[in-house]
Order: sequence, then C-alpha cells, then structure tokens
Amino acid sequence: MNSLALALTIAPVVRGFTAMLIAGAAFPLCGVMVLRLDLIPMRYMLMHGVILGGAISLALSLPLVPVTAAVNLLLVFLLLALSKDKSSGFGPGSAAAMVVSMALASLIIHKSGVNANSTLNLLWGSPFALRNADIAALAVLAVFLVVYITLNMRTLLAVFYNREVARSLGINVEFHYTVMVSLIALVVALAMKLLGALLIDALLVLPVLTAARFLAVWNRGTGVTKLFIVSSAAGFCISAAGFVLAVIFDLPPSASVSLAAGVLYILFSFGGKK
Amino acid sequence: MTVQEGWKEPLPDGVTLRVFCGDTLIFSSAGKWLMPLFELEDFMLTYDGSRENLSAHDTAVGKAAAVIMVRLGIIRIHANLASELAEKYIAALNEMHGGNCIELQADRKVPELICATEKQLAPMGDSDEMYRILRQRAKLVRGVDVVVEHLTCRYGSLRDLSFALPAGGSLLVIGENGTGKTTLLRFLTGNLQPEHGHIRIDGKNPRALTPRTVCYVPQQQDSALFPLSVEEVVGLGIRQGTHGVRELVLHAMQRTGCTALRGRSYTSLSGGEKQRVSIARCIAQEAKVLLLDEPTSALDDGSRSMVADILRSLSVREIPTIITVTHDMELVKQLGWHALTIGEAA
Repeated sequence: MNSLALALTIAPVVRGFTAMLIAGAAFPLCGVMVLRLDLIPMRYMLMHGVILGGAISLALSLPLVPVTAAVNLLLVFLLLALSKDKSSGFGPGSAAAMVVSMALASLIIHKSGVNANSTLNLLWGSPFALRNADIAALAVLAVFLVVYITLNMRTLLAVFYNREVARSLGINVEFHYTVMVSLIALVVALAMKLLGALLIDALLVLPVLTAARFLAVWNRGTGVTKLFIVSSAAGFCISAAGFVLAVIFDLPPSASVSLAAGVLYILFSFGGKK
Repeated sequence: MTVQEGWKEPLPDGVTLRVFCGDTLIFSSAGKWLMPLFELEDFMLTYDGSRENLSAHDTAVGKAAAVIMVRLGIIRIHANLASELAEKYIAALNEMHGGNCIELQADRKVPELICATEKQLAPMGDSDEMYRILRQRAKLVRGVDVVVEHLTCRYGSLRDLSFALPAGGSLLVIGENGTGKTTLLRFLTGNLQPEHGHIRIDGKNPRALTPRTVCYVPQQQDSALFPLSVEEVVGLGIRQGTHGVRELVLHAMQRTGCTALRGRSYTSLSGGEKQRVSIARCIAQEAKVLLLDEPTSALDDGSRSMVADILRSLSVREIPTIITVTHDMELVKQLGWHALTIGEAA
C-alpha cells in the first residue's frame, strides 16, 4: 500500500492512472457498439491500422496518437465507401484493408529505415508514456462518447435492432453508423497507446462480455441500455484494479489490466444462480 | 312522485345532443352530423361517473348514430327523427342479447335518413367495421392515405402496381414467395427508392415523411448476441426526450397483452410473443401507417388468431392505415380485409 501511495505522487503514474480510469469507463461503451454492430473484423483491421500509423509516425517523426487516429479514420471511411450498397458488410473490406495496412507498414519500415522493433513496440502500450495532451484527447473523446450515447440512446437502439426499421422511423442510419465507426476508430487509436495493439480488447470487448455474463448469469436484467451501464462499470473496475495491481507488484499495466479483465470474465461465467 | 325523464324532454334551441346518467345531464353538444357523438366518445374517456343507465336525446338517429350510441353504452335513446334502419339494427341487437336491452323512441320515423352514411351502412352488419368507416368518414383516424402508382421494380415481379388506401384503411397484400411483397414494403418504408412509379404517404415521398410516421414490422428482427429487452423494443419508436416513456410503453404492452413479457430479452420470445411486442411498438410509437411483413409466418393457429385479433382491434380503435403482406390465407380469412394479389402470372 505504501508503494501505491508513493507511486501516486509520481506524475506519469498519476497521468496513467487517470487515463486508465477514463478509458476503463468509456471504452467499453464502444465495445458494445463493436459487438452489437458485429464489427469484430473491423476492429482487427483497425489494430493493423495502428501498426501502419505507428510506422508512418516513426518514419516522419510525427506524434503517434494523431497519426494513428487519422490513419484509422481514413480506413473506416474507405470501408464505408467500399461497403456501400453491399449486403456483405465490413467483413471482406476489413480483411483486404488489414492486409494492405500491414503491407504498407512493412514497406514504410523497409524504405525509411525505421527500426522494426520500435514499430512492434506499439503492440505493447504503456499508460506511463502518456502526455497531458493524450489525456486531454482521451477525456474529450470519453465525454463525447457518453454525451452522444445518452442523447441518442433510443436512436442507437433502433440502429442496433434493425437498420431497415430504424430507417423507416426516419433515423439517418448512415450518419449514426459513420459516427459510431469513427468513434471506434479513435478509441482503438488511443487504446493502442494505453494498452498496446494486442491488448485493446481488455478495455474494449472484455468488459462488455463480462457485463453480459453478469447480467445473464446473475439475473440482473436484460437490454442494451443496461449493458452499456454495466460494461462501463466493469471496465472502470477492471482498469482500476489492474493498474493498482501493476503498481503494487511492479507489473506491466497493460498485462495486469488484461489479466484482471480475463479473471473477472471467468468469475462471472462460473458464478451465479444458473 | 313523478320521475323526471330529461332524455325525453325537448332539446333546447341549438342543442343537437344531450346525454343523461339517470336524470343528471352529463353531456350536451350543438355539433352537426355525427360529431356530437364523437365528442361524447372523447368526453367518456375522461368521465369518471357511473356508466350505467345512460340515456340520450338526439335530433336525428340513423343507423350510424345507433352504432356509436350502442358502443358508448347508451341504453335509452330518444330521437326527434329516427330511421327504420336504426330501429332494425337495435332490434337485431336486442334479439341477440335476448330482451329489450336498448330502447329507441322517436317523435317521427322514416325508412332511412337521406345521407350517404346511412346508404353506406345500410347493408352492413359488423359493428366494428361500421364504426371504423364512420371514423374514417369523420376523418377521426390516426392513419394517413397511401397511394402507389405504377410501381415497377427491375428485379422481382413488381410490375406497374397501383393502389390507393384511404386514411385508416386496411389492406392485405397476398402473393406467393418471391412475388415482391417484402420489396413493396421496403419501398413504402423508404428503404428502397422506386426507379419507376410513385409512392405517396400522406401526400409525401416516404423519405420525406415526419419521423416515426411509419412503423415497419419486418420478418427478421433482432437476432444479435446481445439482444434488446422487450421494453427497449416497444419504446424504439418513441421520440427521444418524450416524457412518460415508461407509461407509454406499459400502456402499449397492455394493449397487446404482453405485460408479462417485461424484463425478458426480445430474442428469448416465441414467434407469437415477438409479434405482440412488435405491434405494441407500433402502438407506443403512435404510428400513422403500419407495415407488417408476414406477421403470422411460422405461428401456430392460436398465435395466428391472436395476431388477427390485435390487428382487428387496432383497425377499430387507433385506426392507423395498415398494410399487411402475407401468403397465409387463413389470416386473410380471419381478418376479412380487402386483399390485393400481386405477382400473378400475366
């Protein structure tokens, strides 16, 4: 406990802790969108987009987060354009974009002489490496996410339920879809610096799965509104617990947060009334 | 002691309808045609006094007025002028219920009132259908008119389809699989834009309608891993920021008899339960046009009858414009609505 108190007097640790709490509460909201809209392939593609963004950032000595965010946004807009009027959704386009992203990243690393290991370090993030600007961007994104979801909850439910039904209600489905995939792209870009590309799911998807298990196994109700709330609470607890454990036991925070997410999911899966 | 019988006393100047509960005057109107009776119907929605022993004095009582008065529970009617059609209608009801439950007195009788409404209702016997027509004529329906002109789709078999449905009308579109029934609904919901032909709902292109005018109930609905709850589905069509959402949802669920499904996830419901919830969604939305795609597909006989009952009840109470596509001939028989067959071989 003393080590925790001591650590919390160090600026990078405080910044990291703040970022983890914000991300823990906000990112699962995007995870609900990913799972409800069946965007798992797109999420994988965005993780590869992060590698491409990282390569560009290193090659051109540009700040990492804005570049990866821009690359991810470009990729989702490309996907939206490619999947227009197609019933196959984002799957095939995501697969193609994933391969092309990695190919481009490889070319950039080769041609610019960037150390490949530096780029691959992006696979393992660190909340201690965050700057104040990163935390400000994270806070703005989190507030936007919460406000957007709160103000448009019923609209989002209609889009989740059935897009043709939503369109018949006069909802601009394409607009909300674009907003949601853009938010996911930005969240993945930011999560990469926090947890690394490989462990993004610890805050994006696992809290949602944990919340769903909790609601189902412990008979705590149904519905997507509840899923949003419980996922956010689960994400907050996971990131807080994971970060504290990392500081106390001197572990990599991304690994301990991911482990906390996994353990909580397993606990809720086995416990309960059913 | 002489009992005062206000319902038999002459109407004051300008007054066309007076209604009494016992000897207490509870409602009076100077409106024309059937409007006083529709005003009375609105009044009765909030009237919390006794509904027994209701009597009325009307200037003229034809079959139409008799239909509405009986629905409102009026058991004694005095008319300055009554038609024999109205008298026959009430006599038939009395015979059905075994006694003189409803009394009609008139200062003067004529074979029938000289008006289009009386003519239209003359051959009819179904009280619900007559009532629906009366509300349509009075433009007191939730629905809006739907016009389809020369609609042709390059794929499927929709060719030069035209029909017009008045506000509050009900239509069954029948045809085998692959004849373009669902495509027609996708045009009506604005999900598809016609290349040939026109669609007008309330005089507008479906894509230019006021949001939430249409309630579409497709065949394939929520099937995702993390489903919406029943309450969320029913509340989908309610505008964000509306007050009393919970009450609206509950009322709609009561209307279709699905309050017991509260707290369940939508995907856990049976086919029949899903239809109840989906129609409750249309009620909560206060939709002006209902578009239902095969509402009885894969339902057993009991669930089919339940869906038919709810749709019939909607067509008489809220009276939206309803278009149901189906190839279920039993449903067509049960609803008895006008049917339009599409996709027949030329």
